[in-house]
Amino acid sequence: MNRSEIESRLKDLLAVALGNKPQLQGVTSDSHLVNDLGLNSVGVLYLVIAIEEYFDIRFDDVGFGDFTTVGDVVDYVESKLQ
Amino acid sequence: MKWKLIDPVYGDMIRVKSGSIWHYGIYVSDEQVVQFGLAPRQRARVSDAQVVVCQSTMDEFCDGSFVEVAVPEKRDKKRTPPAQTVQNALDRLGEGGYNIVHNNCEHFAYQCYLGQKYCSQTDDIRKQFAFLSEVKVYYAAVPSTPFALDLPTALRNEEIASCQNADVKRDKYFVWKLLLRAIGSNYGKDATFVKQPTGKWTCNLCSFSLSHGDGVVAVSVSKADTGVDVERVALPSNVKVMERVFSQKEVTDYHQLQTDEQKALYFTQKWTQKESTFKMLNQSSFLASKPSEYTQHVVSKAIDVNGTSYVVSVACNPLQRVSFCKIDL
Repeated sequence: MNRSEIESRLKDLLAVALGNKPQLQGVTSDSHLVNDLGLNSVGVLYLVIAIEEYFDIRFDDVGFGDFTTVGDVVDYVESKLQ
Repeated sequence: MKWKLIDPVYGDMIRVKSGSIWHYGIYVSDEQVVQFGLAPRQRARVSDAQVVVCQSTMDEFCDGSFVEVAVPEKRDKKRTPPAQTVQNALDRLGEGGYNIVHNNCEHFAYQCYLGQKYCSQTDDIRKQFAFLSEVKVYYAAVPSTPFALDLPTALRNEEIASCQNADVKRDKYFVWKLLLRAIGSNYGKDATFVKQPTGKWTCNLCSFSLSHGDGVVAVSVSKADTGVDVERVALPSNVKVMERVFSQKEVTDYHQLQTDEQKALYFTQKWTQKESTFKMLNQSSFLASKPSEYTQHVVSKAIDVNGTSYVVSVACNPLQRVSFCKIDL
């Protein structure tokens, strides 16, 4: 799966995990997880588990607080899939 | 595990609602509760690396909310004795390694109290995402060997027999053979097929979609709605048709590509994505649409079959994992 596919799936997962909220319109890799998407700790919990289930990976060596933007998460997923 | 609104005693596992999630700790006294980080709403946003096992007063722990106390049920693992529970918690003061999914306050409390890590909250959420099951896409080259209309579904044999074009007849036969393989290996051998009044075939075991042409066949099978399309990578035979079907942005992106190879791949990807989507949506015929008019999930893959490049796209709803598998018929 290439980077653009991962980003596309991540946007889908954001909608699944957080619901189709207005702030999810126009999400880009530069979108800030907290400032732009309004992710709180519960949202993080849902999103991480959704990503783990979809990509069959584990966020076991990193804290979600280490990610700032959607692109950071894409980078991490991409590295895990390699 | 039951949770009761009772006064905790030394060595109890306790929890308090913090926003929409529970925060867990080990009760030592009203002056001392050991926990993995403060409750989420009490702490400013800090990175996981800064969260450590810490202690607070009971008032700080509950923050004005009711505290519930764990009461093991018969089926639960035997709890650790209170003194050992407290010791387990105190031994870990200052410990880091917090991870909201894999090593959080609930994992910590259960490990002190029962001797094993557990988190009901993440388990519950994970179950909610169980729908992220898999849509499987199988594709194969169409064999050139002779074949007889021996499919177990008589109506399908009749349908194929009525085709005038020999290539189409061959494609329809082998795509069904591929379908039987796909369903048999994923959902068992008891498949029965019905042709609906709309002309669409349905199966009692799963949803499926078929695509064939130019020497290749593809099927997708899933418990949820799915549509598949496979096409040989090629430039559009009529650019005006493409411009009518594609969005302005897609047309612009297409014309900005440098080489014919890039254009052919882009065009074929977009086309198969649209067609697979409309097949999934049970359209009786392909009705191409601007991308803004659909919001389904589509995954594409460039494949090589007998030295020829194709793109296979699969649409699914709801979102599912997608796997592709090439097999020999």
